[in-house]
Amino acid sequence: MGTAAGMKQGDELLALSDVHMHFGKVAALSGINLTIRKGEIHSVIGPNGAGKTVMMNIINGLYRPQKGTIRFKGKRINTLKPHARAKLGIARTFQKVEVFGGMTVLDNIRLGRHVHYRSGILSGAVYLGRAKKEEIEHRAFIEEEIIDLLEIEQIRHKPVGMLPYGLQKRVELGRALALEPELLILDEPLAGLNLEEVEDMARFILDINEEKRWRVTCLLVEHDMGVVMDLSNRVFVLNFGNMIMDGTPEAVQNHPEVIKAYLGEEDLYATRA
Amino acid sequence: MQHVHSPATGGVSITKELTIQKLFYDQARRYGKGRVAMREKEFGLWRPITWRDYFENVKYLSLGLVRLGLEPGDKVAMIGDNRPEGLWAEMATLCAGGVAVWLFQDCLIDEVRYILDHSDTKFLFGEGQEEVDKALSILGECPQLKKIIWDNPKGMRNYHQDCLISNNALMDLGRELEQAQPDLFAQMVHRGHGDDVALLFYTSGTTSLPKGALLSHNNMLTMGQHLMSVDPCYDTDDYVSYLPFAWIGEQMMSISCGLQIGYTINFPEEPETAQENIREIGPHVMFAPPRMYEQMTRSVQVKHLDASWIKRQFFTLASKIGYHVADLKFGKRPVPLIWKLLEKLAYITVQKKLKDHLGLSRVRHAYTGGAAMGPDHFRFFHALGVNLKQIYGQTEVAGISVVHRDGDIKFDTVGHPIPGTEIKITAEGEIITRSPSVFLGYYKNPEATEKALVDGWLYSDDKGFLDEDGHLVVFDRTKDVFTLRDGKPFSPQYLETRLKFSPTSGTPGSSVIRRTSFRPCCASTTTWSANGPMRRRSITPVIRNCRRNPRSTPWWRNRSARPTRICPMRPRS
Repeated sequence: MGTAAGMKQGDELLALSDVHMHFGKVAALSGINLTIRKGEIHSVIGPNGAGKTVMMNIINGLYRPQKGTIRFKGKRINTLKPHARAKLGIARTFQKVEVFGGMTVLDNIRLGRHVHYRSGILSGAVYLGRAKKEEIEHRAFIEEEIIDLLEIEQIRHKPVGMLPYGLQKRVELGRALALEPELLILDEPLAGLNLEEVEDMARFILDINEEKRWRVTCLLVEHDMGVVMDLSNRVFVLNFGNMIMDGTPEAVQNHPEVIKAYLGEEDLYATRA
Repeated sequence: MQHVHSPATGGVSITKELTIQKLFYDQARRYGKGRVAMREKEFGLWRPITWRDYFENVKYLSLGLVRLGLEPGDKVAMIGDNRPEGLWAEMATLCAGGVAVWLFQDCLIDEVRYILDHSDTKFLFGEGQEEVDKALSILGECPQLKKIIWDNPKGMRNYHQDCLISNNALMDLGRELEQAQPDLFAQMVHRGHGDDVALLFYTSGTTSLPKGALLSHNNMLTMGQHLMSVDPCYDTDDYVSYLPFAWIGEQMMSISCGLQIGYTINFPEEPETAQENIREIGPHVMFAPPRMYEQMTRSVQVKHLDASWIKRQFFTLASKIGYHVADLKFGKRPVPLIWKLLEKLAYITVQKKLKDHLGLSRVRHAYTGGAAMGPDHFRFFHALGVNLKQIYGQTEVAGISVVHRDGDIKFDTVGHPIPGTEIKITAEGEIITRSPSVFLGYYKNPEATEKALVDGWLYSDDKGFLDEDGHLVVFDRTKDVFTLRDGKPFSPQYLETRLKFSPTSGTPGSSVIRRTSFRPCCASTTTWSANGPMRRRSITPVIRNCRRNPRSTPWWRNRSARPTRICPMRPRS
């Protein structure tokens, strides 16, 4: 996996061009254009029902847009299925955690690593040669890079269903990271978390984006304006399927239409404050 | 001058010339790469560190400090979780002739500022971003502080200040210095005297500002020697270091005893995994505050209630056998053969597994200290076959002064003084101690020193008495003892420790109302340290502190903001 050959910071990683998505007569997205550059944290904000999650599902491959183009690293990926997009380097977390509650934390994370396995079913069954070597390498990666980063050492052998919501979110992030993605879609990673968990999660997002080891481009959907404005390089504002603006956090905060449609007149950047 | 040769204490001769660093030098050369000095669980695996690795790391860190300008007598502070790098930093400081100052890892910024400033700390070893943030925020207020050293690179990518240096970079400086002066390290180690100051330890300061107790090399080494002459340790033993190094009890076990005997010190992966890691290691010696044992008791009680009928029956039967045998031993009566057989049966069916789950299967001596523990907890562990003993001590005697002897355990006492230690009770009922381990005095505080040290006797400020068997009974801190209407003294702690065994009343937050106001003394905060030997810190100062220190950077970027997480308001610029 790793980084795309020849790509450097600031190059276009993902581009949505004139994307339309309708559910019956309801237009969820109407002609969306979005460019995400490598190395950035690009946030998508908007009121409930604006179409943010639909947009994520389109990028991820769960939905196919009726019109428009999706390009990832310059390649058109409209027809690719979600697992094929994952192989290309697009990982995601969900607004409502989608983990395997009966499995342990380690097994959930290992699941995200499957895309990198090269050995077949037979060698895996007898656990010899390449399969064994691979398993050890991947286990080392998970321990050294993911469990250490997300500080979940104390729960690695616990069933995920037994864990509090905040830790489940962390496990889901760990599973997405196991993919070693180039683009990480984070759909409301802070929703339902307490102040301490928000603090941790915000720091993890920064680490994933800035640490030399990771440098993952993030597409963040979030309602906590304080975090969004502080973390993001660019903010994309969506309202009822239409783009209001796409710009720097400062520009977004001062845009009258954004204030009217979403932020309101009062100081909402200090949510949870 | 004392000379003691005993296999139980590692055969080390403690003289006035012997220093901790000289002993370290000798032990490291003696054990070399053939023996594991410490282990650390990292990335899910226990990684061994041999005495040779330990020696090399300490050598280069020490030379690095000298290269940065450390002079003999300079103070070097350490803050962070228990990890090998913390111990290396302390030993490197001592090897260079410096004085080690440990801070609790959860110290608030005000406390860090006070201790660093008061101790004239020149270098600070912090673990990672959280500690570095704390240090950077007070750098301007501690003029003596020159460099901050860190070892965990997580989150440190954007820190490029000149006052920061990583452990690896410091060791590189040490390597350069070694190339220029190959004999310097050995020369540094071999200068110094046993009466030189080794540690500057700050007491909790619950009633006033923390006081810095000066402890010499001889204080520390005689402490380890005397403890091990009561309860021998062996170099094949395992010990798990998970209590803060800023607590003298941990120093006693890791440095005073550990260095003399050469047992393996094991560091948990994270503070949260300590209990699990203790089970994996199965230590031979254990030292924990009462809260830890109380937690174990509670978890067994809860699991017993949740167990199936047949398991409950086995547990009940084994407990009855265990309690009966323990009571016979407490009463110093012989255990009849039938009860010995039944005890064996209880061990095979229940106790063996239970002890394994609690990480106590190999424990020879388990100590509890720092706070009082109720008799029911004592009986519980002895009924399980765990040799749990109460100790009494304080920072000013470099660890402990009184301990129970094997087969002579009384619930309400803390035992007999260890060899070389004299205990007396003054006319006012205060416990006073005299031993080679009594500290040198308080740093920059002659009034307090004068009050605590009179004619070589250490005045503890604890009330107590000696019972008919010569056991010491510690009543409570002088300020906490109050008089009832009939004139009898009363200690709330006495009642609290007995209440705690009850599964219903022993919940966190239960406490006895004190003389003037409510004080949450039964662990009302979330960390066990609140009831242990560490500072008793109510939550109010935390709130006060975070209001006093509004942060300019967002809180998730600043790890030092962690203690303020209960602050309901997040200021934004």
